[in-house]
Amino acid sequence: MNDNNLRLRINTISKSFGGIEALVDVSFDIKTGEIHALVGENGAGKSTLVKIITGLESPDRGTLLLDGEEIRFHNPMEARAGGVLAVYQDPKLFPNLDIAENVFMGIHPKTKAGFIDRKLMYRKTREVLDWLGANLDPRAMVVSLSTGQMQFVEFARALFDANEKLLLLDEPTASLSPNEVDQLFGIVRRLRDRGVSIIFISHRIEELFGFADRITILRDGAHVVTDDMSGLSKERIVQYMVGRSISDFYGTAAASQGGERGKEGAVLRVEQLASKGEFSDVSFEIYPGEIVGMAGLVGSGRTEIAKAIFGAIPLSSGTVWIENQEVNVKDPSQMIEEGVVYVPEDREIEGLIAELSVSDNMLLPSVLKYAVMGFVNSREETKIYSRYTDQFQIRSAGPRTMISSLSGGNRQKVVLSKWMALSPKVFIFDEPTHGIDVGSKAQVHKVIHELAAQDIGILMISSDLPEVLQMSDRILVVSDGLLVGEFSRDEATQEKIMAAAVTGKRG
Amino acid sequence: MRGGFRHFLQTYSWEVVIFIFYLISVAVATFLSPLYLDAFQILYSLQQSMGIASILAIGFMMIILVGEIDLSLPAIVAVCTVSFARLSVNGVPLGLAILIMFTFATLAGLLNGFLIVTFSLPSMAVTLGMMGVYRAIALWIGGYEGFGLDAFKPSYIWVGSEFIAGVIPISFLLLVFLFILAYFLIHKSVYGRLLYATGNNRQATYLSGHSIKKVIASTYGIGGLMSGVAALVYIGQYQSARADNVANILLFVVACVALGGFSISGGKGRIVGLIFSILLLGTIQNGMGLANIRGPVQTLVIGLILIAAILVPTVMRAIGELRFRAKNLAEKLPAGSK
Amino acid sequence: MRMSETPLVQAPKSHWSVVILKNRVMGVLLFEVLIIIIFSIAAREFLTISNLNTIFLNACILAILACAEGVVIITRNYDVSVASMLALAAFVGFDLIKKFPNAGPVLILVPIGIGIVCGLINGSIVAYGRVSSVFVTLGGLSIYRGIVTIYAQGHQIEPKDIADWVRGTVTGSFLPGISNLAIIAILIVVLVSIYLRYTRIGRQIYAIGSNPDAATFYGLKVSRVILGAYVLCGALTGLAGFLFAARSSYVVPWFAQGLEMKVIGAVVVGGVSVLGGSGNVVGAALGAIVLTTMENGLILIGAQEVVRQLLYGFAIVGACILDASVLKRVSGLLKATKRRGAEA
Repeated sequence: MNDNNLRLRINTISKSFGGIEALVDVSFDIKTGEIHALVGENGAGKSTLVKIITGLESPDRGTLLLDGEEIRFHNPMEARAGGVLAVYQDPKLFPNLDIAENVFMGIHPKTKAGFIDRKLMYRKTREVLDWLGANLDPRAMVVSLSTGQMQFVEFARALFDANEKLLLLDEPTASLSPNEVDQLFGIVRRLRDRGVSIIFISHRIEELFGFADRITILRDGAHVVTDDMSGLSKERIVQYMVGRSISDFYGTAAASQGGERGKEGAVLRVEQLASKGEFSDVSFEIYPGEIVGMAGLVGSGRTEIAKAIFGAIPLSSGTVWIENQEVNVKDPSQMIEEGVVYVPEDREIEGLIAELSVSDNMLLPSVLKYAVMGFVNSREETKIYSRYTDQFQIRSAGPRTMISSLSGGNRQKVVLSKWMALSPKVFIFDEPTHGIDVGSKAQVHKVIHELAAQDIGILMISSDLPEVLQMSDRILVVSDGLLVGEFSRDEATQEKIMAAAVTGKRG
Repeated sequence: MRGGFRHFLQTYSWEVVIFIFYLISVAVATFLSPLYLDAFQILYSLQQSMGIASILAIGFMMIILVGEIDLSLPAIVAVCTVSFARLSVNGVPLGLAILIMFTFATLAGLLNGFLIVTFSLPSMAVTLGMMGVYRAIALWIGGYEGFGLDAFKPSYIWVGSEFIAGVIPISFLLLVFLFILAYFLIHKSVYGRLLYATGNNRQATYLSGHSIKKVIASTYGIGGLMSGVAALVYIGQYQSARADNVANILLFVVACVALGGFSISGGKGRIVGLIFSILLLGTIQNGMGLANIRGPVQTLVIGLILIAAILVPTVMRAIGELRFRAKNLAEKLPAGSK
Repeated sequence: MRMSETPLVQAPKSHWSVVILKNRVMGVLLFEVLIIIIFSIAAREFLTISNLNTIFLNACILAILACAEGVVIITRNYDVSVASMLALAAFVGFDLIKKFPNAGPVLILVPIGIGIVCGLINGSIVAYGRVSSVFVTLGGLSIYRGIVTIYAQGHQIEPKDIADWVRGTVTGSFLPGISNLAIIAILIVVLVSIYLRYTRIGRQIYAIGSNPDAATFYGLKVSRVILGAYVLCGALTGLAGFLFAARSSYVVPWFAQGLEMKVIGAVVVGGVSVLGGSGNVVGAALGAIVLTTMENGLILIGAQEVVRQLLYGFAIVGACILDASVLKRVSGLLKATKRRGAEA
C-alpha cells in the first residue's frame, strides 16, 4: 500500500543498548514535503532514531517504509544513495582541505579523461553555497572556519546533488548565530516546498513556531504525541516532554540544611565566569552543606562550567572564591588542592582508567598523599579500599580486580570514592547517576546527602529532572551557555525548569 | 590452588610464553654447540652482546610506557662516550666525569621531553631530528677517528671491563642493580603508578589532578640518564669512543621492549617481561653469532621478531573475532530466520 | 520569506598562520632563495652555473625519495625503511643487469618491482595489521637490509659490471642541455603531484591523513588507500635506487645507509606535516633542494660536517615546531561560537 502523502512510515521501532531501552515501539509518520519537528528531553531517543533511519544502527524490532518500500540501510553511504541524508551536530570534516574538497570527498566530479574536474567542483560548491546563502569561499580551508560555518559545509555536503527525499537535521541551530539560523530556516523551507521531508530535531521550542508543520514528542524512548504545530502551545509541549509523576523512586529525601546566607559564608563563589566559545556571565554561590542542582539541556554548557571551575578547561574571565579566598584557577591539580573535586560525566573515559585495578583507580588522585617516601603504601591503600567498598557497598572481588569487571553502578561508586580520601570542600557531580541501575542510584544519592551533611558544598549537574527536584536545595538552570534561572526547592517544578532550559527565559 | 595458578597464567601469559621460548632457545643453542651450557659463558656472552642494549632498553621502556618514543638515545650515548674519552684524556677524575656526563645525558633527554610536551610535537619526527643534532655534537667532540684504548684511564674502563671474583662482570652487577631499581620504580612507586595511568588514559589522569606533561617529560630524562650509564659501560667494554658508536642498536632495543610485552601505545608491560625478552634475544643473537651468521642477517632476524611481536595483539584480536563470529553463526543456524 | 544579509565572519585572511598554511610551497621557495642569497655572499664559487647545476642534480634523487616518503607521510604514517628498500632494489636490479647485459632498459622494471613488493609488505602490515608504522617500518628497515646482504653473498657491484646504457640514462641528455636525471626527477614530481591533486584516490590520501575517523565514517576505503600509498612509495624508491646506483656506479649492500633521516628531513622542511593531511610533494622535492643547497653552500664555505649534520637535525625540529604552532594558531583563531551565551 502506497499512501502518496507519506514519505516515511516508522513502525514499532525498538532498540536497546545493553539492557537500557533507548526506543520502545515508536511509530509515527512523516509526510512528503513537510517540516517535522522531533522533540524530547535528553535521552528521549531522538538521536537513536536518527541513527537507525540513516543506517548507523539497526533496530531490534520494527520497520521503516520510505515511499511505501521497506528500507534498511547499513551505512550512511547507502542511505545517501536512497535519498536519506542526515546532518549531525559535530561536523566530521577534513580540516586541512578546502570546503569544496570536503563537500565532494569520495564523489569528486570527473572529467572525461578520468581526472577530477576541479573547475566543476568549485563551481558546484559555489552554487550550493550560494543556494544556502552562505558567503563562503569554496577554496577556504575548513580549519579556519567557525563551527557555524562548518555546519554550513555539512549542509552543502548533504544537499548538493538535490535528490534528497528525507533530510534529518540533528540540532542544526546549536552552533549557529541568529543570522545563520534565519538562513537555515529559509533553506529548509525551500526544501520543503520542493517536496523534501525534513525531520528537524531541536531543543529550542520557541523557534519551531511558525516554522515546523508538525511535531512529534518522544519521552523515555516512547512516542508521546504527533500533532500539527498549530495545535500546540509551548506549555503543552513542555508538559508532554516531562509529563510524568515524580515517583517516589528515591525515597523521601530530606532537604539538606543549607548553610548560612551571606556571600562570605559560601564555600564556592563564582562571578562573571566566562570561557571563550562555551559560556559567559555565570555567577552563583554554593554554601557548605548545600546541594545545588544544575539543570539544562545536553550541550547547554553545564559540563564546561564545571570543568572550568575545576581548572580542566581555560577560563577567559571571571573570579572564583573558595571559602572567601580568591583563587587563580590554573589546572586540576591546583583546584584539587584548593578542595574542589569533579566527577566527570563521561565516567568510562574521563573518570576511570579501564586497564587499571579497582584499587589503583580509587587511589589515583590521592596516591601521593598516602605514599611513603615515594612508594605506594599498599597497606594504607587496602584500608581505604575496604573502607569505601564497605561504605558504598561496592561489589568487587578484591582490590586488584580489573575495574572493567565491575558493573556500571559499582564503577560509579569507585569514581565517587576516588575523591573521598581527599576530604574536599566542594564536590562537583556531572550526571552522577547516568546509566546506572536503580539500586545504585539510590546509594549514590545517599552518598551525596551524607557529603552534604559533612558541610561539603555540592554542585550536581543532572539531566534527570525528578532527580534534580528530589535532591536539590536550589536549582540553577543553564541554557545555551548562560545562567537563565534559579529556583528554590519549594518553587521548582519540572515544567518550570524545562521551560527555562528550552526557552532561555525564566518562567 | 588450581584457580590461583590459572589466574597467574592468565595475568602473566606474555612473560610465561617468552620464558618458554627462552628455554627452547637455550636448548637449541646447546644442541648446536654443547659448550653453550656453561654458566660463565652464558653470563659473559650475554653481557657482552646485550649489556648495553639492556641499559638502553630500561630507558626506552619508560618512554614507551607513556606511549611515546625517543630515537635519539643511541646518539646521546655516542656524545657521552666521546665526552668521557675527552674527559679522561684531560685527566678528569672518574667521579667528576660521571657527574658531568650523567647530568648532561639527563638534560639532553629532558630537552627532548620538553620540546615534545611544550609544543605538542610528534615524538618520532622530533627525536629523529635531535638524533641528528646529537650525532653532530658527538662528531664535533670526537672527531672522525674517535678515541682508542690509550685515551682511557684505568678507572674509566673499570666498570665495563672488570670482574668480581674473576667471574661476574661488574657491568652485569650494575645491570642487575638497574633492573632492581627499575622494578621498584615502575611497579612499586607512585611515579610508576602515574606512568601506567598516563600511558593508558591521559585525560583521566589529568582530571585526577596529575601533570601529565611532567610525567611524560621525566621519562625522557630517565631515558637520557640511561644513555649516559650505557656510555660508561660501553667505553669499558669496547675501549673505544667514536661518534658512530651504537649506530645500529636502536632496532635491538626496540625489539627487546616490544617483545617484553610493552604495548607501543603505552600503559602495559612488566619488568619481568623485559628481562625474559632480553635473555631470549640475547640467546638468539649469541646463537646466530656462533653459527657465523653475518651482522645484517642477524639484524634481519631481529627485525622479523620485532614485527611479529607488535602484530601479536592484532592477531589475538582477529582470532577472538573469528571465534565470536563462529559462535554467533552456530547459535543462529538451528533457530532459522528472524 | 525573509532574505537576511550574510555577514558570516571569516578568519582574518592576513593572519600569519593562515598565510603560512595556505602557501607552504611558496614559503619553502622563499627560504631557498634566501639561502642562495646568503651563500652567494659568503662564497664566491657558489653562484656559478656549474655549481647550481651540481646542486640541482645532486638533489634529484633525494627529491624523488622525498616525493615517495611524502605520500606516506600525508596519510599520517611513516616509512623509515626507504633507504633499505632503495639498497635492495638497486643491488638486485644491478646484479641482474650485470648478469644479463644485453637485456636492456627493460631491467629498470626490476628495482621498481622490488620496491613495489616491499611497499606491499610495509603497507599491508600497517594498514591491515593496524599497528604503528614507525615500528613496522623500523623492522622493515633491517629486514630489507638483511635480504640484500644475503643476496649479495659478499659481492658488490663495480663500475665494470654496469652496462653502458645504464650510465646513459642518468648522465645522458635526451633533450639538449638538460640532464636525463633532472628530467626524470621533474617528471616524477609533476606526475605524482598531479595524481595527488586530480584523482579521487589522491584526494583520499589527504583526507585520511587529515581526519581518519571522518574518512572511515564517509565510507572511504582507508586500508586500501594506505596500502596504495606505501606501494607508490616503494615503486618510486625502487626507481630512485636504480638512478642512485647508476649515478654512483658502485653498489654495496650497505648502500645508502642512514639516508632515512635526510629523506624525512627533506619532507618536513618542504612543508609536509607529519601530522598528516597537508603539504604537497612539490614542497617535499623543494625541501630536498633546500637541504642539498645548504650542504653545498656549507661545504663551499668550509664548514665541517658537524655543522651540516647539526643543520639537518635543527631543520627537522624547527619545521616540526613551526608546523605545530601554525596549526594550533589557525584552529584557535575562530574558537567555536557554539552557544548564544558564548560571545565572551
